[in-house]
Amino acid sequence: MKFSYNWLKEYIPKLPEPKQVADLVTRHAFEVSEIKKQKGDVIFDIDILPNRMPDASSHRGLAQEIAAIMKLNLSAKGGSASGGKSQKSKFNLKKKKLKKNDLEISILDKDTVLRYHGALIKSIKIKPSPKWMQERLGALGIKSINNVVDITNYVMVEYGHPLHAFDYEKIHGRTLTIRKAKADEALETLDGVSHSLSDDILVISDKDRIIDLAGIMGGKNSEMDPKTKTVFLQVATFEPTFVHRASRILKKRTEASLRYSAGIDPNLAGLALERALLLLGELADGTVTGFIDIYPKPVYARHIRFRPEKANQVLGTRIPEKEMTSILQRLSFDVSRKKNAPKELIVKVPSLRRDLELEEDLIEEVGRIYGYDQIEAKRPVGELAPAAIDRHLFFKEKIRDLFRASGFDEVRNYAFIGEKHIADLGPQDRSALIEVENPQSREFSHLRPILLPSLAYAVSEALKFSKDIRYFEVGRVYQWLPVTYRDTPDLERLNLAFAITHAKNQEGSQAFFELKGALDTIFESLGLHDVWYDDVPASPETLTQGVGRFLHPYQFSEIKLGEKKLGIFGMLHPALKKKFNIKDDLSVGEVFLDELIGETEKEKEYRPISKYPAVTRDLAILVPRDVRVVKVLDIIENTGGSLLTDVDLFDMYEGDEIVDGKKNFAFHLIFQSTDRTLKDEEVERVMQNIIKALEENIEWEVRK
Amino acid sequence: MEDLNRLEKEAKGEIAKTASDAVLTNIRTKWLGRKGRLTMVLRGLKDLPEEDRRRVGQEANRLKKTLEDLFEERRVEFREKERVAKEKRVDVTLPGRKMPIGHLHPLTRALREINSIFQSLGFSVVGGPEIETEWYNFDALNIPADHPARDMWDTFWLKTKDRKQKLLLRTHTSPVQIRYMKKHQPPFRIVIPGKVFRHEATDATHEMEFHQLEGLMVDKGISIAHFKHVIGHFFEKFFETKAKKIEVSLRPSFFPFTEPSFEVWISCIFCAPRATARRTSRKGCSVCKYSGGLEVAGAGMVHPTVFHNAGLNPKDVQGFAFGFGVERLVMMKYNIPDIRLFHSSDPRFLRQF
Repeated sequence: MKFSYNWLKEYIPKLPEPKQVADLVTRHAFEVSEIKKQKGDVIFDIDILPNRMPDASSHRGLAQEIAAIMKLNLSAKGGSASGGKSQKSKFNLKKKKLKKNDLEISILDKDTVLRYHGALIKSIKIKPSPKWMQERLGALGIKSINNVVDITNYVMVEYGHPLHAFDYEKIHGRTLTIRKAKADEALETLDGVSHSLSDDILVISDKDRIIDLAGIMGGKNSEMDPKTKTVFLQVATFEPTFVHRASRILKKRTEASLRYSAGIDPNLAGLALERALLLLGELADGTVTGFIDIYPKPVYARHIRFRPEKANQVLGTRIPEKEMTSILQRLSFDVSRKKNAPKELIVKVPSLRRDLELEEDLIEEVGRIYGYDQIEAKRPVGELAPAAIDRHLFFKEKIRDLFRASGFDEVRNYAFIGEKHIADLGPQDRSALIEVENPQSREFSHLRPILLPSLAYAVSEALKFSKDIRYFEVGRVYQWLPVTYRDTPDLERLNLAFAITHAKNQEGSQAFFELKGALDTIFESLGLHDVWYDDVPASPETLTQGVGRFLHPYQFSEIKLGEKKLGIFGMLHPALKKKFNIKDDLSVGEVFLDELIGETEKEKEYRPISKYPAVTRDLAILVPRDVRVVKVLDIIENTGGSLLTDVDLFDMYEGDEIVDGKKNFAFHLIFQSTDRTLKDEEVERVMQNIIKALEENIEWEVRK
Repeated sequence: MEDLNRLEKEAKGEIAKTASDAVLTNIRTKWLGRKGRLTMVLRGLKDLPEEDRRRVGQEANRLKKTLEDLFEERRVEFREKERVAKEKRVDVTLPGRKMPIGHLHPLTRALREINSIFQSLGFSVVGGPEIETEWYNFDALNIPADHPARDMWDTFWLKTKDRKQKLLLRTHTSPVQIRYMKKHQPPFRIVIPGKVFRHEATDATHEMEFHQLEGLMVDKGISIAHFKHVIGHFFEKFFETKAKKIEVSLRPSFFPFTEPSFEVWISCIFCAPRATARRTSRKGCSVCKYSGGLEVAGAGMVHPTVFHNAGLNPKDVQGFAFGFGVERLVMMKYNIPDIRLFHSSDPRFLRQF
């Protein structure tokens, strides 16, 4: 909001130079975002805080604030700045009541208007306003129109209350009705913009039509023109919420709507009207024929209890009571001592300060005028409880570290997805998608239900800059539940997604096993020794919370602990590879971290390390080509008993040297006991049992 | 008969001084060879009187064993040296081979660092939902509907099936204050890092999705003076400015959920550290826009209405809350020019951290 230095100086003759004013205002009240020299004046751009709009969005109000900060006196002439040489209004506001024949005002919803004040003025001479007024408005960026309009604007920036002048002859039926608009109504405002209205919007209409958007802007149809003779000058204090809502819906902000939205002291309406009439008499020759003042619930000054001791406790200071009283008085509050309570004061704040209601509000006034910079930092004392470490958070970070240690780079994608990814989701996922009502764009219209689509896309982008991408992401996913949710945290889950690329010239399944190996390492580091990879015969489309759709139908596996699904991984579906234009092999997967972390907590248990040596035996076996490793492993493990602690596949061969369409597996078998050194015969006995069990399959042949 | 002690000293000295295998062989012959000096001693034993013969014999044989061991020890040493000398000399100027190692996102790193600074001050790290109800995000924080204060947050609203409760993407981490205070008993000392959303156009300094860290310290008698200490300590640690002290300056502001409210400014970490004290001096750099100060956080004393909405009696508790944008601090610290890079999938960015 713009303020003129020269104008402020009329209120405060001893005002220091502009830079010092800006510095002090910034430290004690509002940020001065710009100081600009302009035609012999200096214009400040000041960010008046929203709660201070009622009292400080005017030159008179800001001058009051500056005087309080700087311990300076306001000029005795007060509000009579330039123009308005005569000190007293020549109109007596109380005597001439507006006749119903002249103009009838009706307010349909009483709660929409706090005060409706105004005057009918005849014999107006429309002409340009004097040079000093034009210059002053111009400096603040307000265009000069004519003397009457300029006066309304001038009084607004002087007092902070907006005014509006209607051309009386254009008010059909001599009635003004303040009401909510109807859905099919419309109005063209003074700036030539047409608005279609709704019942959320407060308007003023005459007998036939709407002529004003209350608190925002007047209608073109009741605009003054050079021939205007009679003016109805309206100073209405609207209830802030109605103006604010209408201004938001119509996306229309004006100097008036800003002030109305923040709330205005209805008592200001009287002062503003008086001031405007004074100027109208001087600059437009008008004569008042009648006044109206509908003010059913007058607003009075508030009394607030204030305890200096409490103020010092909140601020962390030792400001003497005398100094606090002086600060409050400088802000033009009355301070008195509370009866029978020597440590309490009663502070009377004017209705203009709509922001002050509680003792805390007054503490802020004392604190900022005293100066926050004067408060010395103090180390907090008291019981020092050690910070609690959240287990969930701990494991989340541990998982990040493990992926990083396995050569993965971390990415963070947007929580939003758009049409590009939605089409790929399964029907179930699509129906559970959470949609943004007012999205930024079509690319960010919904919240992601899984991480994988955005990660796969990120990898395709990354491949433009580098080969061998290994990415992971830990992030939240969002979905409606099939049942009613209890609270919003129910709609969110924490997932983990990962991807590895491999240049195409290598063996097709390399990326798959590299990812599987990385996962093994990570699960083991987390103490999850029993994770297994389930070979699911069904098509992946329906599997594992919709992630399966993104995987190659024959190259994927579910990650399980017992029967619990922790996630799924595999090669990216060929259709998506094509869509994202990925030439390299790409293995991807997604894990449900909430499930995983739950399991990690259970699994943490100490396993004793055996003091006795381990014995390793090798076993090689020829099997038909369609036999899978897991089948052989199962037999070995089931027969091996408690002495067999580990089995490792260290070689697989299916080359030409092996006949009959067979392949060769070679394993290390590790035997160990926790209570004794194993004897050769013991191990041998187990080995023979294993071999016997394996060779029960007719085509299998253990090589000896 | 030579003195065995003197012989031992002399022989050991010679062995120690020997510099090559060839010389060592000569010295061995000199001492232990057929006509070696020690051999001569042993041969002379028979001429000794009976009572000396046994004693000297034992001594001489012990010395012989000692010298043989020493010769052997040195020989092994020389052979090993010769073997190593034949091995290839490595070209240390060749480039090293890198082990594959991944990278954590800069935000992950920064959040860990920030959390640990606050943990060292006794603050616990707490989380909350990103999808919020209108009540938690606004009403509970003393931001009523149709109040211009709501315009301070441009909100993403969600389409909901039931019209009773409006849902949104949280515009700040402050709702977690309410959620936490409802479930716990004071004193509170928590920080809440998390993702927040604003419906605004993105550019180099604006994002629709970014992170905030919210802090809350509530007890009896927690004051603005305490806040100044905590926040000053944090920024000094985070920006690692051990030499120059960061000056914290509070400027009046307005937030519906705090009273008093203020903006937190620190002396610019890139230029004149004391410039905030005198704003009039035109020193500074482009980062602080030649003001010498940086606005880094919003803060205030928790508003009584907020305590009330969280089920606490404002008479019993007092404390401060603060919040700041994490990306902005990380951008300052690592000199990252564009906030949109945090969502980048470009490995040339991600692999820098």
